[in-house]
Amino acid sequence: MKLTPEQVRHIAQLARLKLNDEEVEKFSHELTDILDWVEMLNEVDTEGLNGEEGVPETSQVTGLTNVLRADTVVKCGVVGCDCDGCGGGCECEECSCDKENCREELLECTELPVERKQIKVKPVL
Amino acid sequence: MELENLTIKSIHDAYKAGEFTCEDLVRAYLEEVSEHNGELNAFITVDDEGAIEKAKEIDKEIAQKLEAGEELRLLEGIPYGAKDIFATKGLRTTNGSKITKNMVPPYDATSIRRLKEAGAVLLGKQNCDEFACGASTEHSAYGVTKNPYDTARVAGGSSGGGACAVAKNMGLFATGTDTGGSIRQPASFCNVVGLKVTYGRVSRFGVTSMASSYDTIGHFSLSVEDSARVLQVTAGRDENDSTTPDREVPDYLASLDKDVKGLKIGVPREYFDEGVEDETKERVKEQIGKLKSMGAIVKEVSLPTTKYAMAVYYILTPTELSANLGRFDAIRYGSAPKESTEDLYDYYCSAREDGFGDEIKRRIMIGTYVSSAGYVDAYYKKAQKVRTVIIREFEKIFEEVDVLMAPVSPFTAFEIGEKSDDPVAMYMADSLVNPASCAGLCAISIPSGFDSAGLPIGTQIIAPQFREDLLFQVGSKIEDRG
Repeated sequence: MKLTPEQVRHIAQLARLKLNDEEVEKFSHELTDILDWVEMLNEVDTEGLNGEEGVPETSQVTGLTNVLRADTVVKCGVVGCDCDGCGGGCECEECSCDKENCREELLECTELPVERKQIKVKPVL
Repeated sequence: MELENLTIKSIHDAYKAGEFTCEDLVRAYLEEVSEHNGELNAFITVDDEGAIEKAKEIDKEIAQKLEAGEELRLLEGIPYGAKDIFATKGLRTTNGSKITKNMVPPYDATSIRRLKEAGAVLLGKQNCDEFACGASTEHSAYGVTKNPYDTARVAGGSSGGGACAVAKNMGLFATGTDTGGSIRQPASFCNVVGLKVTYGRVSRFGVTSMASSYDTIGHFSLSVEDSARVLQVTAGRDENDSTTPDREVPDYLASLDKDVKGLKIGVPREYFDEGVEDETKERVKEQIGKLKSMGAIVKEVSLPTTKYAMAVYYILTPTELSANLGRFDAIRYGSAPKESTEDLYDYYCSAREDGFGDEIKRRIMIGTYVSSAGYVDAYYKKAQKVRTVIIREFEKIFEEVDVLMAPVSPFTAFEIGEKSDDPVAMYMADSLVNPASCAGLCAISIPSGFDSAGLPIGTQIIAPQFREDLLFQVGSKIEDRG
């Protein structure tokens, strides 16, 4: 199936990608090739056309379902630390934070401007 | 120092005998890095200072332990490299992408933490295709990794840096990820052992997700024994990754001593079709012959749905990838766009335009298309159903045989640039490694000699889920780095 440049532009918009005209042209060919190639899956009977039961979909290959954890409050923001609200600077072994406040450690990871301990982003509206 | 034939065990013996220290060893590996990395480009970031500092610390601990008569930890003082999609606390993690060129994680991935706790010493972060998408490391924003056996050729991918580094003695082992062949294929191109674990055997926490229902964490090593030792450390339940089952981790070293008498080996004929190079088929058949002479029972089997695995993969994994990469929007992750933008939508698009390479864009586009309204049944759900068919076929075969043996790659390492203009040709590089990924099985690439051009060939062993022990049992009998 041939993907039109309009379709390519629409997909790019959904995916939050900006494509120039050259890229639109290139992708419409390449994506068409890939989609033609995967058409081969239609050779496989998955709907029980031969009177058998249809094949279910697989999204989890080891069969685990609904894996839950205890719903507990973790106050410390540092991943891997399970101390109960030390606010940073505690000396428990699991806690890797050695600063006054773990929040600062995390805020240091952003490249965006930080104001009043918050990350400043463009307005949504 | 002779780095060529070191093993974890021989290093520990040397530490105990006082032949060299961990610092000596780290410095020796770092020398190899500074000598070869300029040409081969296996590392994106080398952490000289951190590694030497850590080695000094470990040397003190080793001295104390020897004095007290205590055992060394499983990987005490063993230098290694990590694929650059593993989060490493305080050490830049680029994902092979421009969009995260400045990302410094505030925590360690679970596997990295476990390696650290077992005493391993991180030398640096290794090159890979951008977000682990590729079969040649040509899609890295940090340049291609070259094959140590022929620098005009690729090291394979996506974990090409790790395979190259281990082959060229730039660290004793390396971590990697295998979503659709990204450990086994570069291992075969670079003549090292490459382990892909069962889905969920090793925690994915802290490793940048590519395709969440396929991603697995494994490693490269020079020997099967070392592969088993590393897995002993990394495997097991992690409460931060709900796909790691609460299942016992067996003693993998014990499986190395088991013989193969009576073991049933299936040889799937679809993995030896006309698309596979003759010399590759010959070497792999020789390996199977060795096992037969040791008493294994060899049986030809058929897996007719093999050819569909790649098509399933190129629907399901781009879909998962396009969702997983949504967070690279220059707010949650990623660098802000170079030019000023009008609104939030423009900001997202510009940042992603600047940051993502061609292959990532291509896969995001595919994934977005096949999961969009109107197409999800025809493509995405259909692929999930065919995935079930492939899984059932493997389950049935494993009622008859214990392991499967086949080539890793239809061809040996290809030339840089040879396949980069043809996405589908590049995808076929993974055609023999992909089916096991589709079914979440474990598999290993074992060095198996060379073709007439002197390029390495790998034999693939595939075992049922959670039977990594069988891979080590069989692999240790045939490994041959030449």
